[in-house]
Amino acid sequence: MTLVQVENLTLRFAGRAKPAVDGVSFEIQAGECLALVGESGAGKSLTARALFGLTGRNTEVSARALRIDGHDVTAFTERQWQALRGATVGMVLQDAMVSLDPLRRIGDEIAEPIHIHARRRGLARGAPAGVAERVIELLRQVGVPDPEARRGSYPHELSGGLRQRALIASALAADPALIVADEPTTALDVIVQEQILRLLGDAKAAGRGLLLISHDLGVVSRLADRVAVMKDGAIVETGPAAALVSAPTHPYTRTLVDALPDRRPADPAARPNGTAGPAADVKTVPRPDGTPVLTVTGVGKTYGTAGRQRRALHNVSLTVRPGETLGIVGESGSGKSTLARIALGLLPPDEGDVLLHGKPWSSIPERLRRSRRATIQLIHQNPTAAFDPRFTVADIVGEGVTERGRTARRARITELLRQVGLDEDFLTRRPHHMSGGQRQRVAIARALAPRPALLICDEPVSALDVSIQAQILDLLADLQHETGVAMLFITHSLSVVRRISHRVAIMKDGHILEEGPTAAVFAAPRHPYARQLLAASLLPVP
Amino acid sequence: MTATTFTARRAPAAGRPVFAAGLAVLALALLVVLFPALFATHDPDATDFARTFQPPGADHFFGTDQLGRDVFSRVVYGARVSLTIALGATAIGVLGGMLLGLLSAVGGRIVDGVLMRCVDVLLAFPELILALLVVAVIGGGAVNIAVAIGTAAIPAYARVVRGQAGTVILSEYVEAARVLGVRRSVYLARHVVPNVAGPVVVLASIGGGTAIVTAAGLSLLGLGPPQPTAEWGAMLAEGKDLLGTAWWIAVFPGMTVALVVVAFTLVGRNLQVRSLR
Repeated sequence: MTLVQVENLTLRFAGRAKPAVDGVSFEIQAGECLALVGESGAGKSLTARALFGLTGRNTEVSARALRIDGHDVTAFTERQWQALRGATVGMVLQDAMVSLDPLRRIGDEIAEPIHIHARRRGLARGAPAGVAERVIELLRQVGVPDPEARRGSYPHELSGGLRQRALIASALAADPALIVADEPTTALDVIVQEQILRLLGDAKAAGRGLLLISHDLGVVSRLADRVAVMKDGAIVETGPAAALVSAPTHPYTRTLVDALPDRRPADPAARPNGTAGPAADVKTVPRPDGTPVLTVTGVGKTYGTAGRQRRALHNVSLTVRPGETLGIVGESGSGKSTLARIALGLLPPDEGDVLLHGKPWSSIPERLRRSRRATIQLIHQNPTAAFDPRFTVADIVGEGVTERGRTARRARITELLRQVGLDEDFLTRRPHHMSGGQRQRVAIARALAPRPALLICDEPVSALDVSIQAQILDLLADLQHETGVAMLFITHSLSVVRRISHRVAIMKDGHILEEGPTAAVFAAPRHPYARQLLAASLLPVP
Repeated sequence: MTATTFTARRAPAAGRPVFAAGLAVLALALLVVLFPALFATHDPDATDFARTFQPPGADHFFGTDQLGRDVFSRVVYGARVSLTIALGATAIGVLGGMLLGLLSAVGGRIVDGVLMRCVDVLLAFPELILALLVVAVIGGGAVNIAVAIGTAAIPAYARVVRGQAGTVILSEYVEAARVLGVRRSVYLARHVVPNVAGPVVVLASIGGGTAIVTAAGLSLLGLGPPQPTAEWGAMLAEGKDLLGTAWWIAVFPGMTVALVVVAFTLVGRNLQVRSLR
C-alpha cells in the first residue's frame, strides 16, 4: 500500500528566485524505508516538513500530487493537518534535548499525542483509560529500562540515548503509519546509534513506513531500502540502497560514497576522483625521541560546588610528541573538551600538572603564559561561532599573525590562506558568505598564523558534511606533513580518529580507558568499553 | 498539469513605511537643530506687546504668546536646546553605562556583585525621580539637567552592557583571541566593545525619546534653562496656565515633543526588531 506519494514538490521562500526544493517526487510504501541523503542545505528537512504542513511562513509550496495515507493534502486546512500530525505521521528529530519540553516529565510528553488523538476521534474527554499502561508499554518497546519509574523523569535526568528513545516513543504513541526521522542519530555516540537504528528497524518491520533523513551514508545503508540523493533542492539519484552505495552513478553520490572514511580505497590509483587518500593521511613519522610538546600528568577536574559536584576528569595523563597526532575518542560528556581547555591553559586543573615543551604551563600565571601562547593553538568545532561577526577573513587570520608592518602582514595572511587552499579573493569576504568547509579552512589558517608546535582540534569536522570532512582531514594531514605540527585531535567519531591519528586514547566518564598506537587499539582493544565501541562502530558497507 | 499552490505567501514584514516616516521626522529635527534660522519666521526672543495672544494664522503659524513672541519660531529654536539636552543626556548614560557594565563583566565576582546590586537599587526608582535627586544636589540649568538625566539613565544601560559583555566574553571568538595570546585590554577594545555597542545603540535610540520627555518634565518644574531661553518644556510650563485663553502656547510645543518622541521610539523599535533577525 502506498503511504506517501509526492509528485513534483516545489518549495520556495518568498522573495527568492531559486526554489529550496525543486521538483521532488517519491513514494513510500508501508513497511518500507526511504532515505533522503545530502549535505546540509540540500532541502532534505524542508521536503520532510512538507509532509507535516509545517513549511513555515513566507513559503510557497506547490505539488502536482501530495497524498499521505490516501488523503490529498494539497487543500488541507490547518485543522486537518493537526488531525494528521502524530496520528498518521510521527516525527523524530535530531536532538532530543531540544525537542523535548524540559519542564515536562517524559511520561506526560508521550501521553500527549494519545490524549489529543483520542479526543479528536470523539472519545471521552479527560484521560482515556489505560493511557499510563500504554505509555509504559511504549517505553518498554523502545527499550527504556524500568519504564514505570522512568516515565516520571525529566529530559535532563536521562542520558542522550534514553532521551532519543523517549522521543521515538512519543512519535510512536498515536500509532502513526509513517515515521519521519530527521537525523535521528547524529547527536549520539556509536553504541547508542546502533540501538536507535535497531529500534527504527523494528518499527519498519512492524509495517510502518519510514522516511529517514541523514547526511551519513553509513547510517542510511543500514536501514534504508531505497535511497534518494538530494543536492541543491533536487533529487539527483534514486535507487536501492545497496546498489547505490556499491555503484553510484551521479558524480555527487560518488563523492558522498568516497567520503565515507572507512570506505576510501587505500590504493590511490583505485580512487575515482583523485582525492588524497587515507594511506597518505598519516604521513609524518613522529620523532619519539623528541621532548614531548605536551605532557599532561595526573590531571583531575571537578565542576560544581560542594554538595552537587561532578567529576569531569580523573587522573588523566598523556603526552604528545612533535609531529604526532594523538586522537582522543569518547562520547559527549566524557571529559574531552575539559581536557582540551586545561591543555590550552584556559582552565586550571584541580590536581596534576601540564607541561609545554617540558616547562611549566598550567601552574604559571596567565601573564607569563601569554608570551608562549603562540606554541599551542585551538581549532573549534563551529568556526562561525569562533569568528567575530564583524570581521573579514583578513581581520580574522590577521589577529594571529605576528609579523609587523602592513605589507609583511598582508603577505603572511595571503600565504596562510594559500596553505589552507583559499585564494586572495577571500581576504575581504565575511564568514557568513562562505561555506562550512571554507570557514573551517579560515579557522585553521588563523590557528597556524603564530606558527604553533601543537594544534588542539576539538571536533573540527563534526559540524561538516561528510564530503567536506574528508577534505579538511586531508588538509590537516598535509599541514602536519609540511609544518611538523603536533595535534591533539578530539572527536566522537572512530572513523575520523582512525584516519588522522598515530595514537588513540579512548575516554569515558573522565577516565582514559585505553591508549596506544591506532592500529593496535583498533585491531585488539583491551578494555571492554573500547571493544563495545569498536563493535558498534558502523561499517557502511551493507 | 497545473500545480496547486497551497500555502499562501505572507506579505513581507510590515513597518517599513513607518520606519521611513520616523527617520524623516528625525532628519527634519536634525536640520532644525543645525540651521534654525532657515525655518524660523521671527526672532524667538523678540517681544511685541502690540501683538500678544495672536491665534495661529498666516503671519504666526503657531500664534504668539503673552509677550507677543512667535510660538513657531520658539519651537524651532527650542529644538536646539531640548534635543541637545536629550542627546547629551543619552551620551552620558551610554558612556557611563558602558563603563560600569564592562567593569562589572570583567571585574570578578565581588566587583560584579557590588555594582549590580547598586544598579538593582537604582533601577527601582523611576528615572525622573533619580534625575530630580541629582538636580537637587547639583542645581538646575541646561547642562545640569542633561547631566542629571544622563546619570539617571546609567543603571539601565549598565545592566544591558553587563549582560551583553558577559556573553561576548564567553564567546568562542574571544576564546580564540585569548588562545592567540591577545591581552585582555586589547580583546575588550577589539571584540567586546564593538559587539556590545550594537544593542546599546538601539536601546539609546529609544532612550533618546525618553530623555526628551524627562528634560521637558524637569523644565516644566522650572529646573531647566532660565528664561527667556526657548525650550519645549519651559514653553509648556508657561503655556499651561493660559490653556483656557490661548491654547496654542502650550499645545504646539507639546505636540512637537510628542512627535519627536514617537519618531525616536519608532526608529528604535525598528532597529531592535531588525537586529534580532
